[in-house]
Amino acid sequence: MALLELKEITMQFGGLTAVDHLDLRLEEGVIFGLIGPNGAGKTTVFNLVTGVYKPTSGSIYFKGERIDGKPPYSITAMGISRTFQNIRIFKSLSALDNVKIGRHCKSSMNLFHSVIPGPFTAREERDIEEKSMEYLRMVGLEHKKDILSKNLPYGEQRRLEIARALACEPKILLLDEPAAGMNRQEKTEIMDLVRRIRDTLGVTVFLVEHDMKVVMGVSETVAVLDYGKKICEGTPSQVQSDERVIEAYLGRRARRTRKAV
Amino acid sequence: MIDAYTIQILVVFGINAIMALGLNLITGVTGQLSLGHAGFMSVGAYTAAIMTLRLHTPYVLNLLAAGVVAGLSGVVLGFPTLRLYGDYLAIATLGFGEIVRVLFLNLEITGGGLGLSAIPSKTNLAVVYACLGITLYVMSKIQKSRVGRALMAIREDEVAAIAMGVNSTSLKVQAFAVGAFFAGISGGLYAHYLTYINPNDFGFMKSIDSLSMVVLGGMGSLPGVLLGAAVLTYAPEKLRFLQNYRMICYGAFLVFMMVFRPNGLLGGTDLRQLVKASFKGLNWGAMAKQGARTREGIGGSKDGIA
Repeated sequence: MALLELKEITMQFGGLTAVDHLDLRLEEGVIFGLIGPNGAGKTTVFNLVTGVYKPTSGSIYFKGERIDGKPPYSITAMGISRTFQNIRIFKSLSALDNVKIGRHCKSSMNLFHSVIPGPFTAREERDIEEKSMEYLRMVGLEHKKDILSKNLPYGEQRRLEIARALACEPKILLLDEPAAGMNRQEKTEIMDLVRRIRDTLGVTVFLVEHDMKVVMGVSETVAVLDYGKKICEGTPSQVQSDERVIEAYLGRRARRTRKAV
Repeated sequence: MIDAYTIQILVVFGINAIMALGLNLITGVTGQLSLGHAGFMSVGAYTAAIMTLRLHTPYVLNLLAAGVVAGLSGVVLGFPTLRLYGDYLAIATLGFGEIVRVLFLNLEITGGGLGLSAIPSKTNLAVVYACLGITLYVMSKIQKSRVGRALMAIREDEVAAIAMGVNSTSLKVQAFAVGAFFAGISGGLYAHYLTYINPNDFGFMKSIDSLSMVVLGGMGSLPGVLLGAAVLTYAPEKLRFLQNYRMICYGAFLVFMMVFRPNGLLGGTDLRQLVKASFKGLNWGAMAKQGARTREGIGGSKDGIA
């Protein structure tokens, strides 16, 4: 059974078909890359999986359970968490508090517990703190825990967002262009981090990325989207030599002049 | 000892502070602009007054009931309106405040335009400050808890908060209920202090007054809100010598404050850090640095999901 499965998913916005009869299967433990030219519908796929949009038709299964139509917060609680294309951290909170909010669905204190402490509230708060520090350490930001996140440099904000998403202890992590706007060194670091997340935490990674080097370097399977349709799927080398992919990226005439993407 | 005038200012400050602390949870912590908070105070004031006058129930019970009924009205208002964002929510809460006022002007049990008079005077300095202490305790506990962090996450970026598993609608309703509860308590205290209430005491200006306290003091900061309530209770009194120009100066004061401290007096500062910094670095201008650091505005982007 696939961990995440999209069956015949179509998403229309008015007259525009952003995703067109898309089938995707993600096995547990893979690093799966989704690429495509601008406007191909990659982010829409993420918004469908996380429940921000409800698909026009088709169904989405996670661990065999149908999730399309569920509210986003309960999909997160089931084990799907994400980052955003343009970073959406909680700007005027500290780095540690950002990650602590990621622990929200792994803790249960409600309004009354916060006012009248029960026997387990202190323990739970301590657990939140310890686990959050663990994830900060994982992305190498433990020494910046008290800094307001808006004051962190761009690359660290990206890593903080990943730590926050990991704090939910997801089964699958959706990364929306994690290497966007980064320099070469930062890109290498992000690739290392993605591999480490899969290898040490066993989290399946679903990656949308523009940067070919990053996608091809880190993913085991790559699917290519063009105008909302899947035009190709396979290993990075298969995809790179596929005629349709080259055409989608470089246009028709490029076939004769350029061999690689 | 303290003269009656000072006591009166202290009591009014306490009542205003409880109300502003309730609003702070809604607007300062959760980031939901509410322009109808006086409506909740009104519900609390009338609940307490009617219970005292008609049912002759004990004072403490009446205060509690004032809070509970106001809190329930917060839930009732919250369910349909909290799906709205920013400006739209503000207008909806504004409408709520007006509905409450007009309703109480026309009901028989509330005495209509004549209001309710001869309410026994039971609120004194000790009661007000006991209530203020409880309010402060509850608010500081909430802000430091899991729920408080989730509320701040909603303020910073609601889309991201939901993506982190925060059920934002439910939490916003809870914040509204707690904020309204304390507004109701402050209304109950108010009714039993002035011994006379009229629907027009709780009009739009009253809502704006408490919003000013929150914004002036610093959204989300408990000491800031206390300071804001103190300044805005005391300033109109101190400006009495200006006679007719009093409210002009009061308005100008607010304008200047927002220009020079847009984040409020203590907005974005942790009081303990501020005290530490001022003791440690008095000579190196640590205070100035602290001030500069807090000048950036509060509030996350509300743009679409990209």
